[in-house]
Amino acid sequence: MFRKSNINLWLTFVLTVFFIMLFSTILIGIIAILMIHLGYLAPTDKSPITPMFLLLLLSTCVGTIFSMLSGNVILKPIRKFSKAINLVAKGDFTIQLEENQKIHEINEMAKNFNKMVAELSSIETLRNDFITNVSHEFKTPLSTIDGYVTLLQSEDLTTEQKQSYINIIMGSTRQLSNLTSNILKISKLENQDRILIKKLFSLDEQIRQSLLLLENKWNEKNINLELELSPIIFYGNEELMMQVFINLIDNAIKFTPKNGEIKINAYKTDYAVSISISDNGIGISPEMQRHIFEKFYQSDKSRLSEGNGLGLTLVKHIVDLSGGKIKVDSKLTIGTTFTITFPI
Amino acid sequence: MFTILVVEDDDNLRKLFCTVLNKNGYQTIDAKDGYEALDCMDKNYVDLLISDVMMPNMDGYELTRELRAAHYEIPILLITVKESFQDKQKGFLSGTDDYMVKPIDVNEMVLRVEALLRRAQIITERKLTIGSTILEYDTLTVFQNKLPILLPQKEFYLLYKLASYPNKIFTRQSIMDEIWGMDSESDERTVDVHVNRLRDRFKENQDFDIITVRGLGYKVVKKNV
Ligand SMILES: Nc1ncnc2c1ncn2[C@@H]1O[C@H](COP(=O)(O)OP(=O)(O)OP(=O)(O)O)[C@@H](O)[C@H]1O
Ligand SMILES: [Mg+2]
Repeated sequence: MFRKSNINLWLTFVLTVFFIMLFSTILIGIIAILMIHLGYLAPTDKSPITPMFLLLLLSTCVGTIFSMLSGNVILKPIRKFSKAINLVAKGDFTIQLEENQKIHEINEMAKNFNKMVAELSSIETLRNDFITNVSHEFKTPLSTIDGYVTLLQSEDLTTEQKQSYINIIMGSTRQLSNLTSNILKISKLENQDRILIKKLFSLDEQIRQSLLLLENKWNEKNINLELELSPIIFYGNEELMMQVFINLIDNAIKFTPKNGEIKINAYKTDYAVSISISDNGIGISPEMQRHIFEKFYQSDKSRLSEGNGLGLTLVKHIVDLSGGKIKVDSKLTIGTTFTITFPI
Repeated sequence: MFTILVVEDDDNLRKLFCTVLNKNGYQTIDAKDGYEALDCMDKNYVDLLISDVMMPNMDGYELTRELRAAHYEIPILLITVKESFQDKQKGFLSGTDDYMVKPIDVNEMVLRVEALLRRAQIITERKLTIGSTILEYDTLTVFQNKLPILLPQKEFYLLYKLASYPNKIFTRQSIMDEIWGMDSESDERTVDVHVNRLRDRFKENQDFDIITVRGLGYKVVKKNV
């Protein structure tokens, strides 16, 4: 790297002091010689105290003035730094320090400071995004409810119209309640760094039980289930794992057309437990696969009202906390497979 | 007519529950908290209790515990905003029969109430009727058009369990756990063997079928109703 102009802070200090002393000495020397020449100081004077005292005083003054001038150069970046920190404290994350400082340490400090500010500002935008997202997700169903309730108040409605408005309202309330409970679950998981309550349970049976909970949904779409579940005794948090399966299976059902097929495989090797959930539904494009685990991300805009884009975020949190891995393989219009593995 | 006691501190919700239950043909009494509920229980005959968990004075868990301690055996359905496993466990430990998480779907509430009442009836009568088939728990006997068939114990319990909840799928594991016990040595194929025997016995039955749901388990469905 090109670092010709970067000097060490210690060396700068030593050099500065050296030059201050050198200049002061030379200057005092010149003054002394001048004074002798002008006869203020005779070398044969009886008492040497007065001229010595005079020279001492002079050299102190000169040294101080030099220090003042050069100190300004060293201290300027620190003063700038202090000002910048003050601004950050007040919430201004746009401030940046110059990064081509002569002194190495000062330059490092400027760089780190800029990194810190960038980091802080990204957290700030994340937080803002989160609030925008949350309030948007809340407002959509709320305004739907509001609108249809208003419509319901008019008197000339057929029974079918009424029923369809009511269905829409019920769908929106369900979405709202799902939203609040998912936000709660995610924020709870974000504040913990490991899974606390663990016990042994049968994973294959848990998958069957999650399918039973979703029976209405797959029955309605006449989805064919292909299950290959070998007996697996798993050590982990039963309730959280249940949420993983419910969310993945729920997605598989939601994004698969009528008469589709969902395959679930679960098996255990000497090293790992592996579960895969495949559907032959609409699929996810490679571009979108990169985002599906993000909060509030929904790739299929036509189905926005059927969820909040929090399911996979929750799943990923749980799998990560449990020390597992989740992977997605998908082709648009062909289908999607989610695979989770836990080492044992 | 069944009488249901609704305990809920929120006025709007209490009114909603009562209205829905009345519409579905149940008589309702309402109470604002646990103490009021206990009072109502003393003065009225109640078939089923629906209670919120979080209430002032005496909460739902405590109310359930009190009632069970006083030997009230009526079905209890708790309704709560909490949905963690520990809370559910706490609910069941205190003696509740079923548990719903707010915001609840009132239609589902009605379905659960029906199921709870039917089960309570099955338990008190120890008898189950599907069309013209009657299962008599104490004698392990099935009557088909008045003709008695005595079943081996496990087979009878298996049929009784499935028939208590028509259309509900039971996994082999859950059947094993309940009928053979958690730590039984037999494996899940035992369930298949018993189901096959039952099917054989009731080939001719006009009231129900035992259906295999591939990969998941079994369910009883009522025929032509
Ligand atoms: N099996 C799948 N097939 C096709 N697309 C999927 C599948 N699973 C997830 N996706 C895509 O990923 C997005 C995010 O999924 P996620 O479960 O997080 O949200 P959601 O299902 O839309 O809403 P929620 O789970 O909160 O109800 C979905 O909106 C969908 O576009
Ligand atoms: Mg989802």
